[in-house]
Amino acid sequence: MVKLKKKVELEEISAASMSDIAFLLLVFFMVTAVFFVKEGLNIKLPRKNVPPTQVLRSNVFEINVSGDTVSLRNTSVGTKYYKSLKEFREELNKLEIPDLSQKLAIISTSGETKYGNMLDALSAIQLRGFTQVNVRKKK
Amino acid sequence: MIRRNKTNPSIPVSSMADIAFLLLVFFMVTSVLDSDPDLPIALPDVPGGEQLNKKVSNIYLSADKNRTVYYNSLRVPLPEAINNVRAKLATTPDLKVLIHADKDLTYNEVDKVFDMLKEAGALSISLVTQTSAGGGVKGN
Repeated sequence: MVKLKKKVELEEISAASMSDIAFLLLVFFMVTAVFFVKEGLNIKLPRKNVPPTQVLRSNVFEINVSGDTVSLRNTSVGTKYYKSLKEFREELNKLEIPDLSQKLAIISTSGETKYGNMLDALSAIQLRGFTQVNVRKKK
Repeated sequence: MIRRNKTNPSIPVSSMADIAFLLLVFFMVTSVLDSDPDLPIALPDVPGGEQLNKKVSNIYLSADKNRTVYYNSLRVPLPEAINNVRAKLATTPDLKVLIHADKDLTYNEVDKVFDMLKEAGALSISLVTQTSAGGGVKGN
């Protein structure tokens, strides 16, 4: 009896499209990913028992935040009152302050002022370019 | 006349899958997962905040409008939270405290925390403002 040998064909799965799938997934996740960026106002708290430094009165800008209203006092600018923090921000940007690196901004708030308002004033001052900022609570 | 064997030109794509998977692994390894505490806090919406570096060791100190304090996302009394900060500071001196405080809190409350942090020696602080989202497909 003659035995016929059958040709054994190996079955295989085509993996040629795997790279397409991987790239498609990669592109999909890259396009749809949303990056949440946390932002914050950085401050450095003063060390304990550091002796106070003396600053020329003309270099001091006193900003008083009370509720939504703000007042600004300086020997060269005089005293200015603002009805809202938005107005304060806008007017502060218009104000010409020479030699800003020498100036000191002191934000004073009453304890009852909202934290959000204090932060708004701090952000306006930092954005204006003040590098020396002091925050204090009115007693 | 000599007959040349004609071969069809083709680009080898067998290593494309490797490249794709390498990219995938790269992004998976280098991405930093956000450990942001998911708390009901209305953060102040003010401009000018600097992007926070998540690779620096951070501690989240949060307070909602009812003055409930959270250390990372764990609800704890304020003195205990400060003690935790102090303990963490002993091992990681470049620690940054991220303050998530509700915008409707009074400044009194936040000032009290500043004083306690100063006592604990945590001087590097960031007052977290509202989160901005970037990238992704924008819906209409």
